[in-house]
Amino acid sequence: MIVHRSPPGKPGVKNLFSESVYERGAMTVHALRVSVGDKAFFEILKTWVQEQRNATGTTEEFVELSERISGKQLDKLFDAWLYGTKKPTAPKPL
Amino acid sequence: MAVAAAVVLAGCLASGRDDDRFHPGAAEIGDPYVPGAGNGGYDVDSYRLAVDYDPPSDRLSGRAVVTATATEPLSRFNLDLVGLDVSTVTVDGTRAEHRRDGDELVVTPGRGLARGSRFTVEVAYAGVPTARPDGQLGSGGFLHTDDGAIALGQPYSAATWFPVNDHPADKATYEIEVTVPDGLEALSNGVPGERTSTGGRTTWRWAERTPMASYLSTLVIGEYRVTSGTHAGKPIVTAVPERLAATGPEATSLARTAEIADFLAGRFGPYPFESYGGIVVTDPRVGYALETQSRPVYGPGFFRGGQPNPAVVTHELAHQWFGNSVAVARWRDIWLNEGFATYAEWLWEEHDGGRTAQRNFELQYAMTDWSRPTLDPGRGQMFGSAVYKRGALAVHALRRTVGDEAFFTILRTWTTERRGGNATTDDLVALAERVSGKSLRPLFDAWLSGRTAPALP
Repeated sequence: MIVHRSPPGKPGVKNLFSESVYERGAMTVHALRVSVGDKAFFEILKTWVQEQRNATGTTEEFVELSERISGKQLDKLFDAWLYGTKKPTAPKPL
Repeated sequence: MAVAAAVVLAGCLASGRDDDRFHPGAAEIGDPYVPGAGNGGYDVDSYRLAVDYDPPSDRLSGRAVVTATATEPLSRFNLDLVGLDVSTVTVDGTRAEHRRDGDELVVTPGRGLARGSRFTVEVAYAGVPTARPDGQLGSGGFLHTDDGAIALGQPYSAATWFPVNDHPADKATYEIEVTVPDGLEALSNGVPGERTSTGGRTTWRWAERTPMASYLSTLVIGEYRVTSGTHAGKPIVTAVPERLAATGPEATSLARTAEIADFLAGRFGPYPFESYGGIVVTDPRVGYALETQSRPVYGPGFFRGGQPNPAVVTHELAHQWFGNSVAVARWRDIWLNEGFATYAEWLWEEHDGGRTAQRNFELQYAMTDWSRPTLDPGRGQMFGSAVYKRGALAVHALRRTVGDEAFFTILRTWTTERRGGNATTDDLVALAERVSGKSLRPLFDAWLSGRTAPALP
């Protein structure tokens, strides 16, 4: 048997707590960091927890915030790392 | 007297029973990974199944003829059966008492069954089969689909559609007849037989004459495009849902079945079964591919990339040697299936011009969590990466230690000597030591059970 590991952005109920959500999710976070640089990255994290504090957040909101702070188009990056079924290319550092 | 006493004592030690009088067979085989599964006191030789399935009502009615040999003097015995109503049971043609106890069918024949006697049980049953939920893997068992049904699942699924000794330690041959409305396909394991149609219903016939573990049985009913042919003198039957393009990644992946099986035969020894094949399903509840004997079933997830997926085909076909022909006796040894099937993916990748097995070994070695054991991983980690990836590392570590010649001799001797049977990790260690002339227990211990990264061989 091989269990199919679904992408972290759309794991489905069965894979809600799968390795993909955790490990590939963490890789996505790091891919963002490499792409936007440390300064913007930690700014994104701090703004996120501040603006969404005591509320909820969606992936779309996080992408939007990341683009706003970094001034970069990031939808392709998130698409590849969260939804792609092939290995994404390694992000280019700033 | 002394001799008789010794015999009685030996019998007592062997069976755990106090004497040779007729007694009930155990209600489970005693594998802690699957409590309740399997039964004791007999060994099944063959199943002859005739099931009729009606998709609109989800109703299945069946007749199962189970031929077995008593391994203890039995006053009664159990079969596993999940749900479904049993109407009659006969043993050797005579009506037998039967009752249900959870997922057990308890059969009490009119007279006891002597140790060593061969007997035939016939069970008539019907009902709406159910899935067997399993948190980690989604649903196993009998799934009702838009156009039919899928019976599939590891470590068990068979008992959701027929009465069975549902544990891989008791392999048997199968003849399977499936009757469905005209226009639907009904696929199963093994060699296709005659197809007949009467009164708007078609009966499909399949025979798996090489011993098969029950979890490797499958039934797939629905609207499928079936491709039949011959490969190496044996029938090859593949099936893809009709709604999928004939040139899509599913069909093109299955079309490589013969080529990949031949590649593996070059490494592992002759293909062990009488037929080849594969079935793709689109039901999203099947979040996996399973090496159902001679005809693996592939879930939809493997083809979402739009590209052919020879790796998953390689993995499931490798199981035909490792897992199916040579099956586990207990699930603690599941790495014997998954470690070798994962290693086969590495061999294929190298053959296909990708990374070498050595490179995959190095990459995997660097990212392995050594706190999780490969051998006896625990029920919750049966399908964890320690079984698959660390298992493949252990296989390659063996190869590096004994050299290519001894390594491939070990693989071929394993698939030859154990063909059609069951085996344990200890059996593999003993064989590897015999072929290589080396002491290998410390190597296997370190790679399968050690809590820290083993030294590179």
